[in-house]
Formats: sequence, structure tokens, C-alpha cells
Amino acid sequence: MQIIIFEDHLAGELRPIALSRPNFGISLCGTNLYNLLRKKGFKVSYILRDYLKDFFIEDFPNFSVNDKNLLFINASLPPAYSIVQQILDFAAKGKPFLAQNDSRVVCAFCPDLNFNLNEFNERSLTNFLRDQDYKFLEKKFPLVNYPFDIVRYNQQYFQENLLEIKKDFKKIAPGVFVGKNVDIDPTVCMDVEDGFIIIDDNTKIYPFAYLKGPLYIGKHCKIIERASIKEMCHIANHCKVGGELECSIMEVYSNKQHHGFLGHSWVGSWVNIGAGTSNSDLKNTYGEITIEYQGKKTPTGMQFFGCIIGDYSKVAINTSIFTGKIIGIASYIYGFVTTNVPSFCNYARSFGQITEHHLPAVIRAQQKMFIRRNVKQKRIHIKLLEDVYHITQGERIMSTESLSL
Amino acid sequence: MCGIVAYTGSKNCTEILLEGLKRLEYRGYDSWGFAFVKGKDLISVKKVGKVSEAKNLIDNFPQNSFMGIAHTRWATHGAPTNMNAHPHLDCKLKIAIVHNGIIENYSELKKKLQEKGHNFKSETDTEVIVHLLEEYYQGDMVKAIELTMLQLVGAFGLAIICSDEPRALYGARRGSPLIVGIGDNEMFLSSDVNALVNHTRKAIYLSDNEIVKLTPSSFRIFNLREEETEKKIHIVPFGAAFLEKGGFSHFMLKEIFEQPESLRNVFRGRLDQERATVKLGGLELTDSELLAIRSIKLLGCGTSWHAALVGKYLFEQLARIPTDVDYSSEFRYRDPILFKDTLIIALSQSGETADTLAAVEEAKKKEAKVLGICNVVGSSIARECGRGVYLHAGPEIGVASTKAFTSQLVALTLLAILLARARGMPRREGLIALNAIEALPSLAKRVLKKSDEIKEIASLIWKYQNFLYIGRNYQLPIALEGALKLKEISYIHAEGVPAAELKHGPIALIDENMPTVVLATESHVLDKVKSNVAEIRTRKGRIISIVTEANREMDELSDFKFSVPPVPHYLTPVLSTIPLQLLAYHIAVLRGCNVDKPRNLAKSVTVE
Repeated sequence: MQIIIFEDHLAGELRPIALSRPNFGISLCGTNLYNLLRKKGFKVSYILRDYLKDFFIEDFPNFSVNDKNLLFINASLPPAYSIVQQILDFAAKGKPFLAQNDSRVVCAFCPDLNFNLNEFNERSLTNFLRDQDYKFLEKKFPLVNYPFDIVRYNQQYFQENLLEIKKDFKKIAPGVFVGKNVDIDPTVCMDVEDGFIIIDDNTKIYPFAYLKGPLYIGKHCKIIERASIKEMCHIANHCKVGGELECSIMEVYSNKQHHGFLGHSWVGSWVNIGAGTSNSDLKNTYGEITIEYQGKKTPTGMQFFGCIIGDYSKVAINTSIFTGKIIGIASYIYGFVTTNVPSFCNYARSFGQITEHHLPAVIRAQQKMFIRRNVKQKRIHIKLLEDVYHITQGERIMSTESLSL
Repeated sequence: MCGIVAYTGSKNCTEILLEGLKRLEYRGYDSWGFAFVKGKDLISVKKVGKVSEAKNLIDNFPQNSFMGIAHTRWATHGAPTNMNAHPHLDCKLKIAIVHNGIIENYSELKKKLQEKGHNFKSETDTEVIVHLLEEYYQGDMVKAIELTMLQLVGAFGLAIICSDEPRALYGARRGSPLIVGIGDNEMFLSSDVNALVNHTRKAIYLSDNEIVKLTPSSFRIFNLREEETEKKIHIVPFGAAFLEKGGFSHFMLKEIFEQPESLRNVFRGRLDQERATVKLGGLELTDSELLAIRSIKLLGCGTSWHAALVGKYLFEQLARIPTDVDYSSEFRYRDPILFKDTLIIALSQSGETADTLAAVEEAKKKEAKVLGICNVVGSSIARECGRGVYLHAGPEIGVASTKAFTSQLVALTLLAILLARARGMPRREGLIALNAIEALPSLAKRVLKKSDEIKEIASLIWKYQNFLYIGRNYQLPIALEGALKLKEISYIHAEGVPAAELKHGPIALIDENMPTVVLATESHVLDKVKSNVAEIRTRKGRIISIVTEANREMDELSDFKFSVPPVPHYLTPVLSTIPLQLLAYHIAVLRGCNVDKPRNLAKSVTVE
């Protein structure tokens, strides 16, 4: 059996998270969907939005389809071992099925299908699947529909995923599992009472840090002295993290080196968070958090939810991000962040300014960041920024709210 | 939905084409047309009207022509006029084509071709095809067709002749049917086998993106990579009379089974995925006029009135615009109060319904903005409104409306999405709606595949003399429509009521002789419907429920159950209507009723 992960018509709407990455490449619960399925031993093919294909082909090889026994899985499925196993168990029965979540196809199994990957895109595949012979599954599987779902499912499936993931690591103490060349200062305090701690290759934990499981820290990370990294954090490769972190996800190459609190939040790649910056993840009323999403108030169903910060955004020192705010890609934010922030903006609303952050300036900053991290800026890096800039043009046109001091 | 027939062989083709067109007239009857190759010339004759009228003009046709193409039209783009009738010819009058289908990107192609100097004579989408062929033709027609097909978005079955090749007939298809008939030193092309069966039973069914070249003694079939492909020759088993109904015993059943296609035609070319909204070319309302609409009033009669009721839910729930529904006949005599920012929407399959036409005239007198949703292009209501949405459902012959109703529902959904997106419906919700609409043809096919289950249910309940139909929310109008279908064709007394209204009166009718059809698909009111059903069960009423696939909540409450696939709740009416159409049909057949021509009813009610 071969697995085809597909993005569907809503894949690009998970803004800003999925504007610059495949839905199956979003980090949570210690992995992502692509890596989880590869780990399970499957050849994985995928259907992805056109403009992302070249960029991600190295990170996520797209195997050609040479099987007729095919399992299609929506790229927005949370990467949880238990969910994937349930779907695999249904497929093992050999009978065609299709499962929906509201009106989205979650997965479909076609035991005898001639399928040409190149004939489909994220808009056409689901209706092709609906056209096959199958039985609808009664079982409902979750999908990441909104940005806050990432924080929700990260908490829900973190613990069980680590049980599987720890198998690839070396146990150095009860509840602590590490990769190669991990350097942990003897003064580091590790609390595994509520879950495992996994620290991947070449990561260094500086003195007096406090780590609380369940926790996953990726490769080549630095956990700064006196940092407090608490439960259900997923820190992806090459991050530098200090201050206080709780139930949050940081994608690759992001920095939060100094004091300040980040809770129940998702931070994209190449983000820098200045000293003293904190976000709120709980309302004073202790009530359900509602976010504004595509112009509509959307209840999250969660009591704790912080913020979403898109790739390449920079957060100035002492910035205060209010509960449930969504900050776009490549925006620079200052002061109090009381509303959502479109992509490619300079947001200093409390000082009376929201202006466009021009693309050439973002490209120049990208080059400088890459040099510091020994990454070569290639044409595909620039093109991705250009594409995202154009896709998000509408957000900036719509942000016509009058400015006030 | 037009009809195509074409011939190349050793006989004079005029009679053959004329007879073929008569057999295809059910596919369209707005106009007819022929083109022949005579020597080095193309001769074309075409006219508005029924094919039978062509017989009177046969003297104008060339006498010894051995190749020709013919067409009977069901207007989609451009009113039924002589100019818009097929065939269409290129500027040099060398190439002639007939077309069945819809070209979605015709306006942009037309603009480009006009810039290159091509002279367009009609308002049709079809004419772009012949000018594209002219553009690409350099002595190799297969190559020209291939290049043309690469430019076209939409559905088409084509028959093509060129005066350079007096014996070579070409065909091509994508989305619309096209069949090759193989005779003895003669070849045919048609959109339907029933135009061929008097001459040959040997047929090849072309697949999408195939091109065929026919000479009297040979056929060659190519794909878009110019590779020749092998095709199986089928022997057509049926008699001609049976085939007129496409193999179905009644037009109504045929039209029920055409719904996957008619549903696709109503949204074809109208979904704008980039902007997550809908494009409706005939609306003639600017963005600011759309935003200025403060209320909507829907007008209709019979089945169209039921579609209008679904429209009320759509406009209020999706677009948040207050909406009223009126019977056309009541509206016109009530001296209705209309405001400048009220949009009037008139629904009529035929576009000739006398009461609705008069209601439109009344609304126009009061200077209201009026919009028509009709199936027949150029009909009186369409012309009177001057703006609107065509259904493109093809001719509906069965008196009880089936495919036009589901197309009306989709047309109303399209309009509601357009208004909703302009008023702040999130992009994400717009995309969900567009994807769900695109899924409807596949899902309708899935429902129709299980039609035998409904036949089985019908065989167990057809003797009852009374039926109740109940539903809530979006499914209330479908309960009313289901009851109307049963009344219309089986002459059984049936009543549709809101499920919650049962206890305010109709529940007194319930006993073991009063079966109830329940619309119990997944929605926020399903629990409420279940409570209503429980009340019927305790009074020994039998329950026939229409439920959502993979939802077992109604299992214990139902005597008979039929499931439809899950879709967003505002699209459930489209799918749950189909089993009710089938139920009415099979009950009527079992009771020996004339399904296509029920007593006392006419297809188009052109009197008050």
C-alpha cells in the first residue's frame, strides 16, 4: 500500500501558518504528518499547492505512485500516532472507504485505483475521491481547520506521540531521552513527573534551565541559561530559546533568547522575539477565547490560547500580544498588539502606525539572517517570499481601519 | 443540451440528417440548422423553430450532397435567433461546425480572436470554436482541432466539416457525448445513438479528449498527443423508440437520472476559486448595487415556489438578507409594497408561467429590480426581467419538474454565495461552498446508483391512499416538494408540513394507514425531528426516512430508510429531493399512472 497525502481546497486558508509550508509539514506533537508516515515505513507521495512544490522537494521527497492499493490522507490531519493507526487499521480490512469531517475529506482508501499524481491538484482531488466507490466511515477524525487547532491538537496528542518517538532516542535518566552529541549542563533541572523529555541531536541546554515534560526539543537548538521550558512545547531544529515557554510550538530557526512569556502559541520559522515580550493566553474573565478569523468572530472552544506569529516576523522588545491574536508573515510588531496583524506590515498601532513592510526590505533582512545561520539565500527562498507577498495582498488592502494614537 | 447528427457516405444526406434531427429534437427545439459540402463550397441552412418545419424548406437544400452536419439547439448562450442557430462558419466560409455543450472561457477567447480580426456573427459561445479552427488550420484538420481543444475550457461534442475535404467528417468531444456510427460505406456522428439506429447498430463511444476523422470507408481516432487509439465497436441492442428516452421507460425517470449532468451545467464556469466566490454573467448588477440590496422577495408557482422557499433559507442564513417568498398569483393582485432596495427574484422553469410573468410586470411597474431564474433561454420571463441566471438544465419534457428544480436550488445557492461573500462571508466558507457544489454531480450519481432501494420501498407502500411529508429548516420545502411530486403523478393525497407543526393539528391524522416521509438528514435540528418522529411512532404511524449516510440515529425510528451523502446543510435539499422524486415515480408507475402526462396538468402553465 502506498500513501498519498493531499492538500485540499482549504489548505491555503490556514493563514499564516500554511502560506509558506505544506500542511503536512507543520510541526506539532514532536513530529509532522509527513515524517510520521515515513517513520511508519510508507513511501509517501503528496499533492501540494504549486508554488510550494520546488521549495519543499528536498525536505519532503515526493515518491512516484506505482501501486494501485492507495490510502489518501488529508494533509491537515493532526500528526498523531493513534489517529494514523486507526486509519491504517481500516485500510487493512481491504475495503474501500471515505471519511469526512464536516464537508472535508479526511481520508479515503482505494484498493484498486490507477492514479496519476500529476493529473490532480488541491482543488480537484477530493471530488475525484468522492466519485469512486466507497462506504462512508461513521468514525469522525479530526482535522486542523483553524490556526488555534494546532495548539489544541498539540496538547491533545503530545503525550502519546512521545511514547512512540522516544524509541529512536537513548535513555540517559528516568524519563529523559536524547540523541547524539547532546550537551546538558549539570545544573539543568528536568521534571518528568507528567511526561517524557526528548532532546534531539547536537542540542545544548545551558545552566540553570528548567525543563518540564512532556517536551520535545529538536536538533541544533540552544536553550538559554535560566530558561523555563514547560510542558507540551515542541521546539523545532535550530531554535534558540530563553525565558518562559508553555504549550507552544516554535518552527525552525526562530529565536526567543530573552526573558518574557510565550504560552499556548505557535511561532513560525525565522522569527525573532525581543526581550521582555509576552503574550496573553487567558482572558481575565477565564472565558472561552474568540479570535477574529477572515473578518468573522470565531470561537476557539479553548480557555487557553495565545497567539500565532507567521514566518519572518519580528517582535520588538517589550511587545505585549493580547489573547488570540494572529500575526502574519514578515510583519514587524511593536508595543501593544490588540488586533490581528496582516502579513508584510509594520505594526505599531499604539504609536499610530500601520504601514506596509515592503518586499525588498524583507528579502534583504532574510539575506542577513541567513548569513548569521550559515544558510545560503537561494532564488527559491526569495520566490517563496514573493509568492506569499502577492497572495496576502488582499489582507493589506482590507486593513483599512483608521489609525489612532 | 443540443442534438448533433452528421454523415459522410455514398447517399444523399439531406433526408438522413433530417430524420436524425427529428430523433434528437427532445434534446432541444429552439432552432435547427444544416451544413453541407457541395463541390468546393459549404452550404448552410438554419432557422429558428422546430425541426419539423425544416421539411417545408427541403427544396432549398442541395440535392446531391454526400456529407453534411446538422444540429437542433437548446439555447444556452445567446437567444434563439437565426444568427445564433448552428452551424457556425469561419470568416472564410471554409469550415462549419455544430456543437453540443458549453464553452466556459468563450468571452476571453472571443476577445482575443476579435483582436486578431475575426468577424463574429452570433452571440453564442460556439462561434469561438470555428474561429479558433480557422486560426490553427493549415491543411491538417486533426492538428487544428487538437490545438483548438487545448484552448477550450468547458464541455463540447463537435462535428466539423471543411470544404477542402469534401468526404472527411471530423468529430471531437470533452464532457458531452459523441458517438460514431459505422455503416456500409457510410459513417455517422451523433450526440445520441437513437439518431443512428435506423442505419446501423455498430457504434463507437468516443471518450473525453478524443478526435475522430471519418471518411465513408474508414475511421481514425486520435488523442490530444496525436496518437491513434484503438476503440471497441459496440453493437447497439435497443429499438429506436426506446432510445428516444435514453433507455428509460419515461421522460421523468430519464430526467431524474440526468441530474448529475444538469447539476454540473448550472455551475459550470460560474465558480471563481481564486476569489472564493461566484461569477454570474447575466446578473447585470454592479458590486455596489449588490451591496445595496436590503431585502429579497422570491416569486414562483408550484415547484418553483418550493425552490423559492429554499432560497429564503439560503439568503437569510448565508447572506443575512431578510427574504420573503410569495406565490406569484398572490403577489400580483395584492398591490405589494416594494422598496427601492428590494431585489425581486422570479423563478420559472419554462420562463412562460403566466402568473409569474404578470408578477414580474407588476414589480417592474413599481420600479423594483427584477431578476429571473429560468431554464429556457430567451423565454418571456427572462426577457421581461432583462437580467438573471439560466439553469442550462436542458429540455424538461416530463410534466413533473425534477432536474429543473434541483438546478434552481443550485442557482439560488450560487446567488446566495455571491451576496454572502460581498457581505463578509469568510473566504474559507466560500471555498467550502464551492467545493461542495462541485461535488454535487458525483454525489447525485451516488444517490441514483441506489435507486432500486427506493423502488423496493415503493413496492411496499404504494397502496396507501394518504401520505404525510415532514421536515424542518432547509428540509421543510423539500417535504412540500416531495408531497407535491406524489400528488402530481400518482394522484395520492399527500401533505407536506413543518415537522414541529404536527402537534398543532396534522398529528390527528396519524394512524397505521398514514405513512410519513421524514427528512431527517444531519443538521442542528435533527434531534428535534427525531422527537417529532417519536410522536408519530407512538401513534402507530409508519416512517420512511431520508437520512445522512453513516448516521445511524434514525435506525430505530424508521420502518424504511434511504441515505444520501453528507454535504453542508444548505445543500442537503439538492440530494434529498432525488429519493423523493424516485419514490413518487415508482409509486405512480405501480399504480398505473401516466407519469409523463399526468391528468389535468400541463408542463408550462401559460394561463392564470
